[in-house]
Amino acid sequence: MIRYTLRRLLSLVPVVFGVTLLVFLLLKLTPGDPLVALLGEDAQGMGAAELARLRDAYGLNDPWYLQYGRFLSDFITGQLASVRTGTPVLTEILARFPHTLLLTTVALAVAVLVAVPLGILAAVKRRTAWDAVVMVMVLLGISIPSFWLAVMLMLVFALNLGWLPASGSGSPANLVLPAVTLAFGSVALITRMTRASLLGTLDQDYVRTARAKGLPRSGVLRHALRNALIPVVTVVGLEFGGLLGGAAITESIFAWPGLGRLTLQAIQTRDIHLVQGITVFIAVLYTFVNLAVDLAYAALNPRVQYA
Amino acid sequence: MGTVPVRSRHPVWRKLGRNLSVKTGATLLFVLVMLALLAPVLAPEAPNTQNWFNRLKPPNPSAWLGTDDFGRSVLSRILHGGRVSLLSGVLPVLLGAGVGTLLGLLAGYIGRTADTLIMRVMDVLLAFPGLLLALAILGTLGPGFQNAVLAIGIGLMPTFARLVRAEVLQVKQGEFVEAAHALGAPHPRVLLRHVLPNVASPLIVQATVSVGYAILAAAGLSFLGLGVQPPVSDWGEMLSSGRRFLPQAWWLEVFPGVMIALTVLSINLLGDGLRDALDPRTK
Repeated sequence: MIRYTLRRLLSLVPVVFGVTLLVFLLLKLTPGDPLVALLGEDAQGMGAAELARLRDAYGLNDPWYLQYGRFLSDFITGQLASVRTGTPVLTEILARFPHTLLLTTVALAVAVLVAVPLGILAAVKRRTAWDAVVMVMVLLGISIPSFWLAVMLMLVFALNLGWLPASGSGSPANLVLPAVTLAFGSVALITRMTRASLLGTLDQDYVRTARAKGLPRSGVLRHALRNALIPVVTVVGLEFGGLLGGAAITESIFAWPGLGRLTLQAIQTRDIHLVQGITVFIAVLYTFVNLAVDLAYAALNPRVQYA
Repeated sequence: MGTVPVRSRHPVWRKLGRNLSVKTGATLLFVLVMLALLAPVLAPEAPNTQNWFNRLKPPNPSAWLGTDDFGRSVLSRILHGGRVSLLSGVLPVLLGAGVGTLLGLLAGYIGRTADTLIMRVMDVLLAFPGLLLALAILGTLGPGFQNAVLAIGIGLMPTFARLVRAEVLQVKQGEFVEAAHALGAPHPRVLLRHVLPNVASPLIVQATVSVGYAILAAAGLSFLGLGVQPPVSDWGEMLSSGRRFLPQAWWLEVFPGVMIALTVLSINLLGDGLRDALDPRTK
């Protein structure tokens, strides 16, 4: 297992390298002058001498690989600074990250608590009205845009009924609407996976044997669930990683001060260093979460061979 | 009286015709596409015709879905916006599936260095969860419909490349591929005439489901002001500009959202049904 983990960790090196290179190259591939892209509207009032000085200060005259090396080392050492505010990008990211982590964790916990029982219900009551109702809910869950759901929830529960705050952070009540919004899509995916996995397991020989031996229904189900939930753990893990980076729209609608909202603010102010920094941070984090999910899967499932 | 020759339908078509999910999804999608195509005929007025005496009117007999803050007909804007929204679902998939399939074919068929190189690049693209890559691209290239299509399309590429590569690895072991080689068929011909048709089924299913995803993604980007720019409008942009008038003007938020949900629902129904009918593993 240790060798397997080390090997998987090593395999991440090219991915992380590629992620940073891609994010760096995006700015290089932007049509026009990268300095103007960096400075945005500020560039308009500047004279040629000032622009030349800044071009030098940003190192834009150097060969691209030197610029890339500096981008990497600046990011890691926390020297890569926001083009607009001058604050180190890493400082801003680390200040916002706990909010995103909290929102994601709560949303996913809600999703699992709702989705796993629903999936089990649909599988056990296969081809009944229960199953049909759950599957219709799943279809709606993957078809309704999360940002629209967010606006509808806000319209009903905040603006019309006044039960919950429409936006902001600070109290647990602020967390409810964004967490429900984020959980909604995950409920659909996790329910579907739980149902499919349990149906697959209930067809297996060992479950049939357990039934033939006269084990009561609840015992059979417990037997089957142990294996059926392994792929569910994987989906939950992948959803966790996805939500960390996918909460941008929800965070911005509810003015939740997380990383997603920071990304959008950075895009709106054309703060390219900040956009680059957040993108690298989330992508690398996502990569590691995925690795953790894979390792958990391998640890839970004795059939996986550490080849 | 002579006998009339009966053309028996291909079993896949028969299976599709019996599938409730396919029938419902295809019918709904057909209606939505027709509404968008016939928008200039069906819309009561041009989508950008302003009427300052008719601002923010709730649904009524003369404006079925109400009017917006410029007095424009919401119905007309929904019909016309549907064209942009549907297009923003199809174009990124054409791009992502086209390039992704080609890369997957090459990686699976050539193998070795080409395979490693292509798939490592795809791994890098897969490292960006959800809309993150699209946001990063639009954050550097700037907002707009074209850039949004490009951004979503690039994000879709690795899924297709992986799918096609995995299928090609299986298909290329087949005897018919060996036979084509033995008969002297050149590689491009073997790839396009023998390998590609055999990976078509999963490809069609994936492309269908991806259109739904792309519509959601494009609407989301427009909602954030990163997709189409006014005065051109799609359903996401309508939701974005209507938000300021909540809670009074609820109709500005409800109807475009219902249209997105119905469209994606129809595509998901179709995708699920196609998977059941085309995938030999699900019986």
